[in-house]
Amino acid sequence: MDYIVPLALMAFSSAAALFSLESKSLVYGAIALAVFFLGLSLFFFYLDLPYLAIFQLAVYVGAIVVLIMFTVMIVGDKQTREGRAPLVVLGALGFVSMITSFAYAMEYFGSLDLVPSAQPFSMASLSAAIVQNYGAVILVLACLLTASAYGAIALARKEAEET
Amino acid sequence: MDDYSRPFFRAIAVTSLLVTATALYLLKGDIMNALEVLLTDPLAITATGLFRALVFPGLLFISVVPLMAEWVERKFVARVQVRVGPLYVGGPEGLLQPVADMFKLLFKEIIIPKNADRPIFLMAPVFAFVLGALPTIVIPYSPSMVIWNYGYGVLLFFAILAFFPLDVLLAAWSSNNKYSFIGGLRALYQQASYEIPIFLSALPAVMLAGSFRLADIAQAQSKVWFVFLAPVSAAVFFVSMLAEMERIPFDMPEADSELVSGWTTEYSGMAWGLYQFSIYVKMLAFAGIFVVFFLGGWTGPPVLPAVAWSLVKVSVVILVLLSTRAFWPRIRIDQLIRAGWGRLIPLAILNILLLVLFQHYLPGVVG
Amino acid sequence: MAVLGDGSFWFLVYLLLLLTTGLVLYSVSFALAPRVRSPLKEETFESGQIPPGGKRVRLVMQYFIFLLLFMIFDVVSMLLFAWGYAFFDYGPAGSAYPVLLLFFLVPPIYLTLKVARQVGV
Repeated sequence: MDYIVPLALMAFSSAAALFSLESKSLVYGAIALAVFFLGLSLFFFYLDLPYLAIFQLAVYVGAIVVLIMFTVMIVGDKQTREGRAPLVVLGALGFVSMITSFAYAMEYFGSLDLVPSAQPFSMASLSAAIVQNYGAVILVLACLLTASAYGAIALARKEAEET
Repeated sequence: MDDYSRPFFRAIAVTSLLVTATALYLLKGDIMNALEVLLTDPLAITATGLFRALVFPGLLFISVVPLMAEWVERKFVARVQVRVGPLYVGGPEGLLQPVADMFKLLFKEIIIPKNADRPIFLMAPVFAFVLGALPTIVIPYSPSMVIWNYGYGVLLFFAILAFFPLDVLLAAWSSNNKYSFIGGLRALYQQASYEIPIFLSALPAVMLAGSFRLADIAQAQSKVWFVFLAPVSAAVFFVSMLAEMERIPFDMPEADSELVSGWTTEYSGMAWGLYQFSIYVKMLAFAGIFVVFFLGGWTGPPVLPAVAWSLVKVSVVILVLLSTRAFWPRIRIDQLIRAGWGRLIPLAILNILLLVLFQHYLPGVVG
Repeated sequence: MAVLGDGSFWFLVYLLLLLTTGLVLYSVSFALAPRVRSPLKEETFESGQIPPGGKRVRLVMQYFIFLLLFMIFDVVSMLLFAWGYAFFDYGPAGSAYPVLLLFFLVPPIYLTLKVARQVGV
């Protein structure tokens, strides 16, 4: 019974993910992607990682799904092939059964006490890690993000020159 | 009811019955508990969770405030423009006009345009209503008067905020109208552009209080309100707030003279009513968070109780938000985006840098 | 339920209550309002004209750059919140990297605005 919540979340997320791949309409696919990200963030909430969960919601649902949906709507919602709904159900069930067997295997290995138990999440330790240990990494990240911003601008400028 | 609308009615009614049954099942213990409290000690009812979810910071409060705000707005704008505003319905000064409007909307036909994507078109207003009202869950009106005193309330508020562009985009796309779609795209650009100034100008409040819990942020202002420590951020937050709510001067997505009603063009009846409702509830949520971030929440001289201080401040902020409609013209979409990126974000960053510079002097004033 | 911390039960309850309110208002409206279908009424609004063209039109993506920029800033500002949480704990030295991060992100904004002006936005 301990596994009921994660299994339900897994079934929910994997069904949404498969639907986003298999749906006839691209817009519905994008909505399913948003639902998948929601399921993923609920999973992070379940694992007691609220900061990561909310990061997931704000960045993935708030920015990436919106970007994908915007592009789909601008280019046009083409319905090129038939959806395969039964495949979605079968795939979700298969995935869940796979994960369940994996979970039971993990429980068996966990009972052998090979893995040290995880520490509970605390925001203070996360910010300590970011400020003290990963500051340089974040700066590299800033460089990468800036470079990607410049790349996006360069692409846009090229398109503007062509048209 | 004709054959056309019966399936919609059936689907929506069955869903609402299921949701109600689930809510009642979850609440069965709390309802019994609340009844017991009511019989033994009626005043203690305000301490129960059920009262908070249903009455004060919860459902009843967030339903009444939009109606009042609508009346105040109409009266206020009418006075500024030397008109009288609502006058006849319900006693003095047309006090019950919004209620009458609500009943009128209930009896109006919901027209579903040709070739619309029906499931999305019909569900988008409900989600807009839920998303608009959900942020009020973390806003405290006194140290205890809050539905969910969540340790990551600030982040949760912003996470819910991230869903709005999605809903607007879907509503605009599903109604199969060119005005709606252009309006929806503009709303998307606007909300996306002004979400960053909101994040960056809320950061000083979190930095100074050192907590994501909204109650802690309000408590940290018992000595000095953050509006005095981070005035630039407060101004940036206020302007971005107006833009996120799509009010004049940022009502670009629904510019009447160019885009009819923007992305709500095809909505009628209660579907439009839910959108209107969500706008005013969002205003309550934003006013509440502005008060908590910059105006000290419930803190103030002890002449009034804590809840009263909160309500006074929220009312003042809502009044200022409403008054912009009477005083300002609309600005163009490119000016709007330029202002958001080129002015507001650098200003928000400037205030963060100032706080970092004067970091040494701050702990004394933050209580 | 307990994993979401104290009071997450009320989050679920509040969500359900709001959903109920919205759906009940909707279904009451569907039950009470009259409905007369007519082809003209269901035509999409286009200021009195008969709408030309197909179902959904393609539009210009003038401000697409700003959406890309928004994605970058979204990530950065969420990361900055983790720093802001412990602002006073590490003194000026702890703020060095985040402040540099902020400085790195100002030039792209102005470059983007310049490019946008060249494009004619």
